[in-house]
Amino acid sequence: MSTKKLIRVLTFIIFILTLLMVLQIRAHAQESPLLKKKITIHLQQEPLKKALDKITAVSGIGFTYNGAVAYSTIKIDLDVKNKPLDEALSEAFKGKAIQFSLLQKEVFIRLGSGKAKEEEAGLAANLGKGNARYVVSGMVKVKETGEALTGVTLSVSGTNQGVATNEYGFFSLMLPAGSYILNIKRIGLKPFKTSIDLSKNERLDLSLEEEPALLDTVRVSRGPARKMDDPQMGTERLNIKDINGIPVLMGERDVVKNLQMLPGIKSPTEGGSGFFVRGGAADQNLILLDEAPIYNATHLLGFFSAFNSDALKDVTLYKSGMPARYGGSLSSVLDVRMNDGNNQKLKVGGGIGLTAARVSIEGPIQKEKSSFLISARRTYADQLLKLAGDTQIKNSTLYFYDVNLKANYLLGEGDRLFISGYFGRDVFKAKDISALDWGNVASTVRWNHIFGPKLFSNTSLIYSNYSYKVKSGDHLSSYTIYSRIRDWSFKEDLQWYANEYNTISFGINTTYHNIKPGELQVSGNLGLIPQKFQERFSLDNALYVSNTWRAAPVFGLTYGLRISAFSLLGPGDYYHLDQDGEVTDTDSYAAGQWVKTYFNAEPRISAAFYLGATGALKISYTRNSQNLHLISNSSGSDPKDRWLASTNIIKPEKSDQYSVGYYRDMAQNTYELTAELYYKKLWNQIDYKNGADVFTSRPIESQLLFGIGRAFGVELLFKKKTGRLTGWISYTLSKTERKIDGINENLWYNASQDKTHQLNLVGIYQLNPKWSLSACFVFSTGNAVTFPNTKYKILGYNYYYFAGRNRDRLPDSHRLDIGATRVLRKTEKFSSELNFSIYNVYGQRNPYRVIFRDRPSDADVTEARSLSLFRFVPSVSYNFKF
Amino acid sequence: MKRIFCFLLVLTLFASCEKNITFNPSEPVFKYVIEGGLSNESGSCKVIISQTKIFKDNNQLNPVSGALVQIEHNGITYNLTEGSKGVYEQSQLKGVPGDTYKLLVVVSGENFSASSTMPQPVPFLDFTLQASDYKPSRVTPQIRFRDIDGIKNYYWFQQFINDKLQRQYKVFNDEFSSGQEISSYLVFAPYNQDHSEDIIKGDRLTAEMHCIDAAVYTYLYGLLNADGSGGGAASANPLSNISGGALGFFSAHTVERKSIVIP
Repeated sequence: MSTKKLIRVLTFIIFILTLLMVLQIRAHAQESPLLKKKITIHLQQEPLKKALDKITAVSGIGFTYNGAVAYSTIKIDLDVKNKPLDEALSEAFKGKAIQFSLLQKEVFIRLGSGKAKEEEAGLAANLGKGNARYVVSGMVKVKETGEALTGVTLSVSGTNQGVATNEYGFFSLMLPAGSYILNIKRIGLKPFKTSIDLSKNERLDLSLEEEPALLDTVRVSRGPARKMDDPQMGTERLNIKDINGIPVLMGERDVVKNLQMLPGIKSPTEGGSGFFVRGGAADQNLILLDEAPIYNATHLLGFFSAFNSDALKDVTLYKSGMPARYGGSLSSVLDVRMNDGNNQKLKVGGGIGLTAARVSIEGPIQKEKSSFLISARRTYADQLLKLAGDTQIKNSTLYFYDVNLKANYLLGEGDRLFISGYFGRDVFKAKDISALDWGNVASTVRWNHIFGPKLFSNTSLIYSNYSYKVKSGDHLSSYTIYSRIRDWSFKEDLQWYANEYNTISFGINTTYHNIKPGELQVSGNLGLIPQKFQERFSLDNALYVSNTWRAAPVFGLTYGLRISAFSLLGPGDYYHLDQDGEVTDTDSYAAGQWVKTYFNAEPRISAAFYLGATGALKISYTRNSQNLHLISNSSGSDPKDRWLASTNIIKPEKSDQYSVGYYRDMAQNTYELTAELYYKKLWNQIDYKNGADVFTSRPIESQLLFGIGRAFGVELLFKKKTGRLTGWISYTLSKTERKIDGINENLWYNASQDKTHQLNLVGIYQLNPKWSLSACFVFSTGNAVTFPNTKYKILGYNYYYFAGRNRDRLPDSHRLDIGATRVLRKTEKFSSELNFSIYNVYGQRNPYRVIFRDRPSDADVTEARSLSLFRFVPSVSYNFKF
Repeated sequence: MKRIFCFLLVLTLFASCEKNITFNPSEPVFKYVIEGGLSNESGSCKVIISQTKIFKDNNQLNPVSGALVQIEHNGITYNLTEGSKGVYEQSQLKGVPGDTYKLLVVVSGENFSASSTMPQPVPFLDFTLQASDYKPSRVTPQIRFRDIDGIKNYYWFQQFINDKLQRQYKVFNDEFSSGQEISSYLVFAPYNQDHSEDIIKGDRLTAEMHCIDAAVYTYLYGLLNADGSGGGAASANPLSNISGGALGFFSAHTVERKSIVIP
């Protein structure tokens, strides 16, 4: 698509969006037809509620009201024939302290204040001109810590109006003039209620008190109440407090491992901390920590996640229907938010386990105004190596550490500044043989600004750097491969609470990527010549707009568009290749020259049909594109995997996802049922050629093959959220395939992450105030792998013939993990607990991989050997906070 | 990477384990396997033809007899004759550096062909062993050679213990070392860990250096992914230089060998 054409299309789309919005506003402003509906009714001394019910019966028009109206003793007399509803109501309420106004598709009835009479006089006239509407807006935070409360719903009593706070705790709600009672209910917080008289735009900042979990009560609730009244689907949200107590490998709490227990999210290998979402590859997840991308979110070769849960506030994973503000990855967005830091008092927390120790300090810099958070973690797994008999292993080093930092300053009522930083590093050294060293650095500066009651802005400056070094050699000589990806980004995100029916998000992102694909450093007499591969520069621009339209009490729609433009910049050489991967032509570009720009239009649409207050049916369509690709030929997270940007040959990856979901809350939110279905199509998927050379000076494109992919599945989740026993059952049935030119005779084949069945059971039981027990069970079909078909002798030894890519499977795997938590002390000042857990309690030998070899004791026999990693891994950890 | 996995195993030493499992491969596909080559030494021209066999079979060669095997050089076609079953030889043909040799195999009506050009020889400078590089279970002698600048070179080192060919071999290209003197090491490690095959005083280690062409390098580099240790993730068939659908390779290469006797 040419730029001109694109701009034309873009203009058209923006025009349509604007038009739609204006139409919606108009449609709702002229809603008097409802009130002009003619009714005929006779009422004599009917109690108010009964009277309203009768009017509903004859007119079909519903009323909303609160308890005060329902139990009111006011009696109504009315005798009308073919009179418009507003006139009839005015007549019925004449001289009584009752007001009515239009609220969406219903009529809102409230008992009037002292001003009722004068208002009443002008009521009919008022309605004709369109009621005056005002906005109540503000920030919601936790009183004790000053932490912003994200995603809590503020509801208006007696109506179905409500709004959720955004990711910084801001809300804005438009209502007709009048007095209202606002409610917030959220697990872990004291129920909150406040009244507001709305006759002008109001700013309302709320501080909610935490509900003290006392030692003598056994009341457990997990997970925030989910939002039904929003078309957003395919999301998993974890509150860090909720994952405490779920047993994990080596006692390290890990948000990613908890996500793997949910439907549609799979672990690459047992104990691994990467994840695959709905058939996507590991690099198709956009992982953001306070908005900064993290390119390798694992530690210790994938066994731990890069996130220290002590520093985190919440984690949201989008599997489909990604909001338009996110882009750049095909499969999912993992949005990880760090705690802001307690701005009330200094708190210290931490923990000591068998493999790692953690500590975090948070507190006010200036009480109420600013706060900081420092959280650090280091493993001492290498100390275990010292126990080994082999001297080579004894002299090895293996550890990781990470540090999270955050500070925030309240600059004024409408401005807040956040600075966050993350630094993580893994070090692995085997004496005289090899060394690996990799890590992420990420930093974000954000500025929240409230432009007015309706417009919220966040501006971010982001830096992210991921690098690795692989050293190989002996005591005489060695070579080191160094690679790096570095990003600078600017983001401007705006949320405009346009009116009662529309919330519009729009913004721009600009990222400058600098990728150093590799550098070879040499010492000694290996004969290698140090090399520097050409660095790659690119500019990733995007703009988006999205509107959430609360069209009717039974229907909501979110529709938006993200336009991305990925530009390759010089300096650098770009190649043309023939079919055999030989260079036929080279284009050289100078610094600052534009090589190529890829435009992508990514529509995002989701619609929701609300089935009463506790159910919803949602559908969505999402397009995503991706311009940074991880080229990987291993199943685990090998830090040597290479990140590449799109080039003239490597086209942007694209995906279209369609999904449908059914959601139902049962028994006052005790149970939650989610069922989702998805179908995803992927284009420009990348794979290595068989026997490709990863580290080569030839254009990397010569080692790659391209194709398409598809994935579909069903995901079921049943949760119990309150009571002594909480937990969930999740089941996923799915299929993931690729079709790559040059692999498997160009036929469809299973992607390695294709696992047909996955079942997870998680249960936590609060035995008594001191003890809680937990268990989780995992069953999963094995990964699709390539096993030998036959064997043959060459150069005197056995080798294997593979009949096709991923035609076989690792055996099914299953295991049970159990855990127990003992609260030692829990007071305002000091709390501490002990965690015990056993991973794989019945010692199932789950194959990590299967190797094939000649039997050492009988060279005439070939054998298959399975290698399993974790059986009966016990752990103990002690956590404290004061 | 394999080594790193070993360390992880140690990390969870009380928790990891290996065991034999029964393995039922999918419907077997039988393929012809051709291992052909000649060097600049006389008597080196040999082609071995076999067939793949099922996993549960024994590990003996599954030879294919009665094939027509020809090598063409400078317009002259040489017929290779079958000595022991499946092994076809031609004693007169000796390779000349710089020349191209074409292989033709006809077996049961199927035609397979390949061609390979013998590179110019590069001298094998040194094959030495330091005391610190000796352990009975692992000996790592050094090799040294000087790459020729200006052309692409590929090297293949085959290893022998007391003249017995070992599974381990090493290949090099000069992508990052053109014109340099290259020092590296070979790993001689007995397959069996029960000390019965330990390398002891008096054992003779031999390294055979070959200069090979690009296609053979690609094949041998890829063959390392087919030794069964890939665990299913990176396993793939090497890219053969034989057309017609046979496995294996055909190489015209130079040869120079050096030996060390363990002191």
